[in-house]
Amino acid sequence: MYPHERSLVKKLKDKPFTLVGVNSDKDLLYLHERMKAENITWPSFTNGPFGPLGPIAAKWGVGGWPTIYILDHKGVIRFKNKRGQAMEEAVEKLLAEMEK
Amino acid sequence: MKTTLFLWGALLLLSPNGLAQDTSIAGTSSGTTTAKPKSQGVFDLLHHEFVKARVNFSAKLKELRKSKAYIEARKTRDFKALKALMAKIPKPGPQILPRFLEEAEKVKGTPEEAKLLFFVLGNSGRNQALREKVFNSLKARHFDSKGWGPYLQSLPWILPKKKAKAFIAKLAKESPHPEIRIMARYLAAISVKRDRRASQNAKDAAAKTLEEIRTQYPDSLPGMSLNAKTFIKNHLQIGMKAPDIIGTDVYGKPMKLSDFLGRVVVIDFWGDW
Repeated sequence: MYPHERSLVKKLKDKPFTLVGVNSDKDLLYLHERMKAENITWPSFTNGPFGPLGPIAAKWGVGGWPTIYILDHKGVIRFKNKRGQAMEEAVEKLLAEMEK
Repeated sequence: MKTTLFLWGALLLLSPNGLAQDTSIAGTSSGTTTAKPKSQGVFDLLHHEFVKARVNFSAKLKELRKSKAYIEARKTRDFKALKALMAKIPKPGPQILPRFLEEAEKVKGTPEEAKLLFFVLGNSGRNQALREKVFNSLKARHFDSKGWGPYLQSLPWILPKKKAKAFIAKLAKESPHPEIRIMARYLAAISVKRDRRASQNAKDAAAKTLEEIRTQYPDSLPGMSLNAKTFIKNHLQIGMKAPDIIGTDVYGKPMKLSDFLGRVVVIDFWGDW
């Protein structure tokens, strides 16, 4: 997943777009090193010490990782689980709507 | 709609070697640089060293996989040569975990010991003897610790299954912490529910337990999980305003999903594990 997300974030860096992660790793210190190595620059919530069982994923019923929600600028859920090219197209569509 | 994660504060305190710990090491720095450890506790220093060793190990492994000798050995399926090549890279576990144990010995019976031992329990990899030894120490001296929480789910992989099951049942009844008891009851009930060989009586009892957790403890982690289907139906459908997420980022800084209103947002539930 990282390469595609990295390129999307880079491509849209001047647009009103943010990739927000919810990360389920337990060892945050190690995660920081991994993020450095993988050049993961976008913000992520931590799902807490329980990892995948933690509160955000529990509340949102996340069973599969990764799980994706795509929101428009008003915070409305517009797409779910679009990945790769489909994710990029969905985001472009919502950005275009903002310019109307 | 705003959904506050009620348990958040409690969760931060729940694990002695979890989040609160990690964020204190990283401070409140943002961006991608890891801050130097601020507190100089033994656990923090060893944790830092362990992470450094893991990073070093991954880098060396990556290098090795590109080397001629490795590629050649793989091609010819020369497992002895592969093993010899691997042995040249120092593994973080055997190198550093014994030092966690040494330090634990010096603070026997204190919460600091529990913190050190839980870390070893979670990072002992395939070393079955080490895992059981550490588990036995924790069981003997730290049964009452909140630190079991994050390890409960993985216990059946850390220990022989029967032993794990018996211990989870004990925690479900006897842990002084309600959140540990609820999590232990939940995990035990889920495993019965998924066990094809379980009797109908056992399955009925498990279903009753799950229903009790769902209705009586909706704000506990298992409670939230059990109510998630309804939450998705009522709040996470296309066309609905996404519920707010109020939490902290991976560096320990407060962050809300609503901070990003006015921007197109992709929420990506991810893990590096």
